[in-house]
Amino acid sequence: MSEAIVFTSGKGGVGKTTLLANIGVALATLGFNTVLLDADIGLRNLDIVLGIENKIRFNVVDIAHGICTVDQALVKDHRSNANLSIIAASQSHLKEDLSKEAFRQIILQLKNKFDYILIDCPAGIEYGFRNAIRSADRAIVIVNPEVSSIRDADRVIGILELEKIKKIQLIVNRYQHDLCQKMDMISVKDIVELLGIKLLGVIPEDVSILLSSNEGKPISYRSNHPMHGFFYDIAKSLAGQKELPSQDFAKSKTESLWKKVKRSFTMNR
Amino acid sequence: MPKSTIPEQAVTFKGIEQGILILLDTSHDYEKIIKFAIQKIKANKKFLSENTLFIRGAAGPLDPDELGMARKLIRDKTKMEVLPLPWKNEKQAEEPEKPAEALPYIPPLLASNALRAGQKLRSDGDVLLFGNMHPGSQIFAKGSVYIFGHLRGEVYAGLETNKQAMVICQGFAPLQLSIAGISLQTNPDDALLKHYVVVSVQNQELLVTPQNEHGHE
Repeated sequence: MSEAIVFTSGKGGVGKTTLLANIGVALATLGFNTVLLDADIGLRNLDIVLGIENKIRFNVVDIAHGICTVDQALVKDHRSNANLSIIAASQSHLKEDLSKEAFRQIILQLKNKFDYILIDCPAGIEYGFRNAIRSADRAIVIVNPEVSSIRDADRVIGILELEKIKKIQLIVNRYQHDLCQKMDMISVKDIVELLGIKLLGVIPEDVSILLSSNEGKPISYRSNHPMHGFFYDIAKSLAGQKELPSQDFAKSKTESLWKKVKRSFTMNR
Repeated sequence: MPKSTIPEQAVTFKGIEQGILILLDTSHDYEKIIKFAIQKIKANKKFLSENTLFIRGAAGPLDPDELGMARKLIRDKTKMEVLPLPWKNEKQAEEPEKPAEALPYIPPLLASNALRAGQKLRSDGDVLLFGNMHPGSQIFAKGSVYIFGHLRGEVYAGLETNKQAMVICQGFAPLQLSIAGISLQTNPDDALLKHYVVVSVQNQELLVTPQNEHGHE
């Protein structure tokens, strides 16, 4: 069954687009037919993170305006066994140029072709955000371990609940375990307790994620990289192939996770 | 002039509904009084450790610095936590209060699930929230507010003159709180996040009272 999943956060800059690209790549590599839809009209980023900027001819607003068909706007990424496609956002339009009905129709068409439709939601809670969440079956809320991000996420979860989105899950991005142990950072357990939704995964802070995005080659494509496994774990949990992680993100689990990362680092050297 | 010896009755224990209240007679040298209190607590540790402890001045409220010092010293020396209990004039409290005028019945507003940032509840009667109240959320009620979860948002109960209104919650860390226009003056204690708390109006002040959970009989 096809599922449209919106990645949202309220606050900007928490890593929605990067996370979506990496999880999309992981899902596609696991064999799911996946499409990534950039709904951040006017601030087109997803294609840059994936390094396929030069292949974009049509965008989502072009489909809505009848300039092209959905098939014409789909760009395949051949690095992931051709299971991954993307529809870019427009750089020159405004959010209001994509009507609610047109967007809903595009999602319906994509549902006939793909297993997973991952929607990259714009920051904020205005028209662009409301449009992006309206057609979603499931939402993934991304937070950084900081108070303002958590507060915005809480606001967003309230709106998602009002939109009757039943399945809302949490990813904590840019988590720094060392700082948390020194009590300088809010722990994953506290975040889960505060927001009251299920934890889907945790991504530690790592500068190589940023560097890979700049290169246009998401870390999920680098099978020997230590961060690689985090995205695949989330993709598997998302697809129901793996159980959700421990909700209190118990100490032993965190430590084993970190030992894994450190071990991989040593192996790569 | 501070007296050199501390009389036995300068530190007294009093059984109250919520636990044991330690009363300090602040007319003596304050540091000596606290040392004496610590001695007394240590002597009765077994009995006291079974109850929630509160501290208060015998004749008037303790000032925040004095209170903080007393709590810290007692915590360090005896490993026991004492909670502040606001002072109230007991003579006045014993006077019978005028019976409140009967208000027309207004059904309470019931809400399930968490109240999240940006969300509001408004009622002309009471509000019952079956879930946590998150920071950034607000409740406005002419009656009382009962929260079956933690209170971390803004609560305005007893709007605008209903001093009979109460706020009851499981875990107390409000951003703002007022009953009948009377606001909370001090920052709530972090320890109250793990307590049942009842807030009511006493003598034009908000009285924050931590409660212990009682087992079923």
